[in-house]
Amino acid sequence: MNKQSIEINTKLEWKSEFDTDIFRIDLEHRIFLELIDSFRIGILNNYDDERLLRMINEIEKYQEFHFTSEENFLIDIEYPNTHKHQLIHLDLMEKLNIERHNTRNFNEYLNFIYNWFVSHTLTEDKKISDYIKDNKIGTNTFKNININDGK
Amino acid sequence: MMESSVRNVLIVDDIIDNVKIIENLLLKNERVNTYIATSGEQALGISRNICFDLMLIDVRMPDMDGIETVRKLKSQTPNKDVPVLFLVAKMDKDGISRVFENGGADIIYKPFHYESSLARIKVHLDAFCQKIQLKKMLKVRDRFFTVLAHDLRAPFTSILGLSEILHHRFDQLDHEDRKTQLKVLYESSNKAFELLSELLEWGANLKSVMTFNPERQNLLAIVEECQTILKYLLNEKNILFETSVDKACVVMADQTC
Repeated sequence: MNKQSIEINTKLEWKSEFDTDIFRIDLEHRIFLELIDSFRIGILNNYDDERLLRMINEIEKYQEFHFTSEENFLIDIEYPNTHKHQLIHLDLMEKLNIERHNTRNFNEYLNFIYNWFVSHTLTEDKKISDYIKDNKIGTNTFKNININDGK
Repeated sequence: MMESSVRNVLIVDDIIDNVKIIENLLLKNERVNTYIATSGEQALGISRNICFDLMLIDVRMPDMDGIETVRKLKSQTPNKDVPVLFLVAKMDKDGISRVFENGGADIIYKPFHYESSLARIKVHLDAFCQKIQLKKMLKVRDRFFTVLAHDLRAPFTSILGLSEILHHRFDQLDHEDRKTQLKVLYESSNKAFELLSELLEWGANLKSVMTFNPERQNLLAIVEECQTILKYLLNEKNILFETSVDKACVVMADQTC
């Protein structure tokens, strides 16, 4: 998969190819992409290092949460490669950690994390999507969320 | 005293980038020699010849994992008591629970947080070095007690011997003999008393040990003094005692010890 270089002035948009058609996973992926885009805006607006590092913390925390909820989901649907998927998550977290400490600048980190998100979503998470479709498993988690409730 | 020593730290992780991150963090902040390995096998090889003060080991490694590596490392004598901090991903719940069951002293979480990782490493490095220091001090204390017991025994040997002679053979001794023996008895008691007083003083202070103040002493004078003390005891046992010391021989010694 070719790495994409981010155009710093352009919003990171959701693409249909990211869809896994699993509502909850897509929802969390969308939030993750928004967090990465917020980081892009931070760099664009010259936020100071301390603020950008806080944003990286937030991204890491969210990623940890997302992986945990994705793993829980895999256990619930009796996904056959759950353990393998968990190990992939651990590897990804490891790469993210190394990148955080080794990148020379925030721009490099932004590019890394975006490509990291895209490659995982398009490969490993697509396999979950295929499994669900092949086995006709219903996934209704979070489907009733409506952020406009009460307005 | 402990701050000045350079500590040996072993870092093991199959991903060299992780090793480098930890190594840089340590080298920037602590006085350490770092030894690195990217597999359990390699770690075992290194640790055969080096005594470490701390080992940082990744739990999840291919072939020999961190737990197995530590089990083997601990079976080697030079490093069996060294604290191990495992490197574990925060998400790796299975890894975290296995760490403490398998002799881990603590965990360094990935993603690494510099300040907390360094604080944990420092705590365990200091605690281990203090433990080593304490062991050394206990050894010194034990040696000190042995020397002390030996020093106290010497005057008591003459006190007991002389008082025994005076007690059993008082009537057979002439006036001069009694006088000399009592003088030696007095001096020996005094010496033992002085030693006990110094010991009490040391115990009260507990800050310093007994001081050793060597001075120039004539060896012949010291030997003659011993001869006077032992004379009656040696006579009792029919032991012939001869000295052959150069008059001019001078030694450096502390007479109170």
